[in-house]
Amino acid sequence: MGIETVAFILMGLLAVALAGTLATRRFPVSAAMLLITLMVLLAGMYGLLDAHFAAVAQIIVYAGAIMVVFVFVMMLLNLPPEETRFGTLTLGEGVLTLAGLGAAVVLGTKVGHGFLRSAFQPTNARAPFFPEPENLKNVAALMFTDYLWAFELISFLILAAIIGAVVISKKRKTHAEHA
Amino acid sequence: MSSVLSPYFPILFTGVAALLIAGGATAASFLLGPKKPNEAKLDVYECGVPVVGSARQRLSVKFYLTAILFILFDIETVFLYLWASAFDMLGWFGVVEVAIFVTTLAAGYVYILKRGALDWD
Amino acid sequence: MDNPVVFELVATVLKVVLALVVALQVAPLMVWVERRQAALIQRRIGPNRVGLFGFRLFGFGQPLADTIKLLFKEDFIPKHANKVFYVIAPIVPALMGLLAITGIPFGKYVEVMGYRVNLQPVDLNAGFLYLFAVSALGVYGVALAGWSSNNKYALLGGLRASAQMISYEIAMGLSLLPIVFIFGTLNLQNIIGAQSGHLLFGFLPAWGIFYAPVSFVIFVITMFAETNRLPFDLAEGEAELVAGFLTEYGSMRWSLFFLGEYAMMFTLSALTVCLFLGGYEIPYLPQTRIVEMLSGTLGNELALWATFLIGFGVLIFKVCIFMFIFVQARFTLPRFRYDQLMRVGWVYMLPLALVNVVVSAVWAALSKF
Repeated sequence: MGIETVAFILMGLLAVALAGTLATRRFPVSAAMLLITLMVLLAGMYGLLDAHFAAVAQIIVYAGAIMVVFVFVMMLLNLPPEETRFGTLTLGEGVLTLAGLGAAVVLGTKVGHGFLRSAFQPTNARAPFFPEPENLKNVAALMFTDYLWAFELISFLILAAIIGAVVISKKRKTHAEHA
Repeated sequence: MSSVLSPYFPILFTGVAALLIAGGATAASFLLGPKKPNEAKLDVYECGVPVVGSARQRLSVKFYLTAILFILFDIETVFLYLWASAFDMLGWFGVVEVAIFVTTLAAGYVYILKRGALDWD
Repeated sequence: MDNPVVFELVATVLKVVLALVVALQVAPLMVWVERRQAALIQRRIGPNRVGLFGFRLFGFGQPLADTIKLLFKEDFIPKHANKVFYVIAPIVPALMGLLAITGIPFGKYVEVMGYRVNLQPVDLNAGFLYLFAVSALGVYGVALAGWSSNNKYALLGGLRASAQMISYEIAMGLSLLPIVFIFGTLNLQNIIGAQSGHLLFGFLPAWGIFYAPVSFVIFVITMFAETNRLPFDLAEGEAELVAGFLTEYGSMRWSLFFLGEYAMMFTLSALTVCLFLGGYEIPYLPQTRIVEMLSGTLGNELALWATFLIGFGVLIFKVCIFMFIFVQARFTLPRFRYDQLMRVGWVYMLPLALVNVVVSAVWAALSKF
């Protein structure tokens, strides 16, 4: 077992521990900060898997952009600690939690299954277009061949998201508001 | 240099070193500095007058929309970096595809501009 | 030392230490430079008393004196602050600043015992996107500081700083796209290599600034916003927010924010130099030529070391020009009003950057294919 494998397993265990801790935090800001740490850790794991683009994108998009919105919401809502409501678990929440756990188990075994299969039999993955130092270009090559439609559709997805965000948060200005 | 170590190792090392530097500097000033706390010093600073209200209150949601738009355009930028890194390989085909991609998003941009989502007054 | 792993460990540690030493020198020196330059602009004398070893040298001992003073300041945590995040907040920008500076190539390479050592401490596959990733995380230091201080000025300052950073990061990212597709790589060493060795139109050095001038302008402007410097320093705007997110901070915790800010300023200046101004290369005299000229008298290994030192000096010199502009802008330009600042980011910089990408792409495609 190489040192990178050891590092990967250690980081994986740490990530699971972090995820467990953040799910049980009562204080939203603590949970958000743990989530950011978790994102950075995941980026490191992607890096160890030689998925260098995914590693950087994970930090830029998830840790650097999406989490900013989380932190903004918490800072803007800005509830004093005593006003934060913590009730007991309702039935619906319990069912949802169980469903989430079930999904995690299924996904975990699927991924684990895939990992075992790839470890014991050769996959039929295509050879990379570019040798190792140009790792990023392989992702680009795939994106503009096999996943070209997905790539173009993403622009429409983003467009829909832009319009949705504006419609939800920006009510059309009435004259009364102007005055 | 064909690396024996992971290219991420220097980052780990720098991170640990930086934490030690930051922690050490704070610890040093904690140990060296005087300790004379008093009520006024530890209170919230509001230009010397008695504190009015709490800082824990709701604020306007203007920046929230900005943050969402930031995510969306950030994702676009990340995709464009992929294209730029393989520009020579993709040639005119890539330029045309990206032009379509950017035009779609430019439509979204014009929309947010027209709806006044970028007015901060 | 025969073991390549041990060798590489030592080499990595030394490279990182070099970067960290540079970063730790920048902050105190720049504080002194800023005070002296401000004094010059405002026709005052400025700090010129503290010398070293009996020489006054325009107050060159000031940085050292400042550091010692800060160490002996009282370190306290305000009663209402959220203790944990109040302590964590200043560490984040310092950590990110120090991490960022390791992504800068300080020289091409040196050869030690037959091994070639790349002089960029962190050389990732994703190239300079690493710097974007690190600087994107810097937001949290400011946001946390503002929130955890439990002070209205601090909260507003933190909010403004984060809103501003996220507004300018997109234009910043878009502005560097033309550089990537013109030079065909994200690797800083390769980008610097592509800028040296040949001339543009027979007389201009083949620098990025001549290929993508609009990108250069956008990047420099967003660089000011990203580092929260005047004219974009509304987060600290002392006229309205006391000291913004720094209001409740003092002693070393306060200086950690500045360590991070100056390290980030250095990194972004160095990044500009590497992308647009040829990095550590001297115009018209590529490093390969210097090595050739020196290796006759010094031998190849020593020649590489000498070239590294020359290149390091050149890099620092070019960065100093940007640092000078940073300080000059701070004491020359007025501060933006808040809505103006956001409008400049979203309504002018972003579309300009997008148009710049498209036009440069068409131009690059026309000249390449």
